[in-house]
Amino acid sequence: MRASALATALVAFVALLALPDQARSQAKGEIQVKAPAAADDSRLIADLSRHMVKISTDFAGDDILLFGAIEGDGDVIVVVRGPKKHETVRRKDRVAGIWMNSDEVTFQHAPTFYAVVSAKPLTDLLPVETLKAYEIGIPHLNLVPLGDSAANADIISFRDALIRARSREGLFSERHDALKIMGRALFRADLHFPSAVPVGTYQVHVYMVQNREVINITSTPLTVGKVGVEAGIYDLAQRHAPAYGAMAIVIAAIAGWLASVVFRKA
Amino acid sequence: MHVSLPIAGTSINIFILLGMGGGVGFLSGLFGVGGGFLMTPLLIFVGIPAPVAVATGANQIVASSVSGVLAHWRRGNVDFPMGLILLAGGVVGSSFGVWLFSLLQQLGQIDLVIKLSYVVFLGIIGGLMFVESVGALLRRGRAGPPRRRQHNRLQGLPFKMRFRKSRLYISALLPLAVGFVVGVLAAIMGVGGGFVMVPAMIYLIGMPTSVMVGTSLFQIIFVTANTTFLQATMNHTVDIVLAVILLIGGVIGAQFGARVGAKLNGEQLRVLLALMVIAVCVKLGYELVIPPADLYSIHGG
Repeated sequence: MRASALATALVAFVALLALPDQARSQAKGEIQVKAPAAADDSRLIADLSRHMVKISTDFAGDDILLFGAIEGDGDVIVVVRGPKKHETVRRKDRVAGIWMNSDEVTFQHAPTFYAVVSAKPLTDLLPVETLKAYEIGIPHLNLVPLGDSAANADIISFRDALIRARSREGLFSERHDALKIMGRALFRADLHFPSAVPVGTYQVHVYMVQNREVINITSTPLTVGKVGVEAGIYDLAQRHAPAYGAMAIVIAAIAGWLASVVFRKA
Repeated sequence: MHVSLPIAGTSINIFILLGMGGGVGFLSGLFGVGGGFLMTPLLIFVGIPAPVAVATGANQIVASSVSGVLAHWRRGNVDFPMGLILLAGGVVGSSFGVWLFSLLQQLGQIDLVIKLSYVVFLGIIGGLMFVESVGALLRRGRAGPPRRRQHNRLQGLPFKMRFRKSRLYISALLPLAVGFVVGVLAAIMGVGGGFVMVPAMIYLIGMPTSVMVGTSLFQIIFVTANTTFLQATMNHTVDIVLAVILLIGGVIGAQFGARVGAKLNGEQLRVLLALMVIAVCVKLGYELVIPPADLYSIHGG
């Protein structure tokens, strides 16, 4: 089973290599850097145990296994990137003795989820310039402030605050012990998704590293979505808001009436 | 056992929520108040985002006020004309409140305004209630209660109307304005507004206590229903799952509370309620004054 999955991934990967450069970077979604030309002896394949994180009513986080194989010497870095959105960070200041929000900075296309898994600290594997170019590692994320807010002098403290807030919820993480390379060929990584994981389409990028250089990249999508009752309610609230609001009122009114009937009899 | 709340976007132990619903329900049954002023801060305290806590609180109050008003209606303690005028003001007020809520959310000041409103109103109401109930306790056994129905200039404004159940002939503008203010508060604070409405009915409008609670609850149903609907359509912040869990706890808690309350002495109850209101006020106020753990925040907090 797993062998055939690996074979399928390998075929898909070879097909990807055959695409022209531009098309390939589009197919890989968010990678802006031109993918390096893969040498013949640097095959890399990877897949996930599941391609869907299902948020149901009893959801309290999920773990997905990433597995793969490399051919030739090398290390592996796994980066999971969630959907991006504008995020406003606000700073409180003391005004008349009360702490209230004053300055704010909006970051464009900030990832809502970002996790790095590797076997060693990132700087042992790649030079900082390369980490920055590929946006590997939380300190190397390219968080761009929107318009006017860019004028703010201490943008770095806002950036740090965004990272801190995301890390607190477990949405930004970096772990250098959750990836195991076995027999210099197979590797596996445990990807953890906390209960607050945002919905959307994720990209899991796997970087093969040799001699402080990225020599190969592969990526696979992952969907985080609400299912069952949870999905129905969320969908209704977002897309049919008036019906949802009316339903909320009717449910409450019926509950109140029932309570009064029960109370009278008791 | 954790339950994932679809709109709040967090997952919380269901027994904590049932316990909170039950606890607040018990207190509301005990003291005869809606309990929204306790529920919303508690929800924020356990990690529900403030906008969701406020909107869902309004939804839950629809249920508790429906069951309350049915009980009062059976005893004929609802002044419908008065309720409808309060309601007209309330609908306009709560619509304005939800719009204001949306605006403040964009400006990033909604958390501050919610907390400040709580500190100010709970402080005033708690303080007045404490002074009044301690006074009543000390006076007990001597004279009868002071006569509350007095005429003031506000009652003499134009558009005078007769309210038979309340035995009043006063300007309709007065209940209209009271309804408006309570509507704004209901939308911003996620409360029914009973704790503001009841003193306003006694001291400003001059209604008799017999029809006061029933009439207040009657208009609260529609004001909170309007708030729920507008929050759901404009801000997408009503969490039905959360509301239903709180309801279940609340309904059961209220039954026990009412039974215990019937055995206790009225003035002592009011002193206890006043102390509780003041405690919530002090806690929220203290949090605004001490330096926050993290100066920076996202989610408009």
